Amino acid sequence: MLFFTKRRKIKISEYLDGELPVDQTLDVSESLAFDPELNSLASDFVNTDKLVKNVLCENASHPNPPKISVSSTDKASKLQQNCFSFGAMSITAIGLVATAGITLIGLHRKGHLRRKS
Amino acid sequence: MTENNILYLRDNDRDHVNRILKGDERAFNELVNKHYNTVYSLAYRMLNNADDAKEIAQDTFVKIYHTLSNFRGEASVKTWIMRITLRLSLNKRRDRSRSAWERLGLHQNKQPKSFFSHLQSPEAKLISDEVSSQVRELIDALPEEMRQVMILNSFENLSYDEIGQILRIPIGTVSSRLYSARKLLSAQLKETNIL
Repeated sequence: MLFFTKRRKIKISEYLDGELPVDQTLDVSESLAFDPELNSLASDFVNTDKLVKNVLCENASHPNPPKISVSSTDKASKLQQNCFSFGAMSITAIGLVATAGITLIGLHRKGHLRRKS
Repeated sequence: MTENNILYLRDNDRDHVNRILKGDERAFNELVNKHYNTVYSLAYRMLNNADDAKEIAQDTFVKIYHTLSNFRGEASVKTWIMRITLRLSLNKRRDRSRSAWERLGLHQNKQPKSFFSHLQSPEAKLISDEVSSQVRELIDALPEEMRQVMILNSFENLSYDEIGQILRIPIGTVSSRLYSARKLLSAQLKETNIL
């Protein structure tokens, strides 16, 4: 019984939002005409909605949409990529120079390389 | 709206998204201009603060740009954008609720515009401002699930189906949450002699 009562009340809420099909809309209209309790509930809901809408709508004027540049975000990420690739390249170059230096020193010590006198 | 119309809209959305994904900056700016007011208004309703709403609007479009390739077209672009706005606004609200700023009540706009602003007498204006802020406080104090459906329902005449898609909940759940929110809010408005 309680379930059916609640279901009927939910229908009032749906009715006010225009979410009911035509046949059910007619049923609810009829119930509202003959049931003072449902009628009072509907009137409470209507007044509550009015207050809510008025309060939530008073959000002043919308600011102008800002110019959100797609290319700036792209450029930033490309710049980051470039920075990364520059860093990686310099580390590789330093590594190669150091390896070459160590190899040359080794060869020199073993006597494979001699200075021209 | 017929099924054909929905398909047509989805195709339009898809074309627009494809243009942005191909790097068409003008298409992205069109998207921002088309949906900015919706995003800002929703964020404002969720947060009741103009600066926070502007920030959320910016963040929403940045997020959209970076995640556009994930858009699957199951819902309309508008629904998808509203879902992102709602999520970012909720995160902001959670962060804010932890801050001392919020606890002191300093986050709100200091002078809310009254919905009875046509009443000229200062006394009447004072009363209406007070009522307005009381109603806003009651809406803010609703359980989060109810507050969300209430805000979305008051927004751009969204249908239960659209609200369900934004929140990813069934239509029946939208309906019962909305009923509970109305019931709770009208009872509280009666208690405070506003209704």
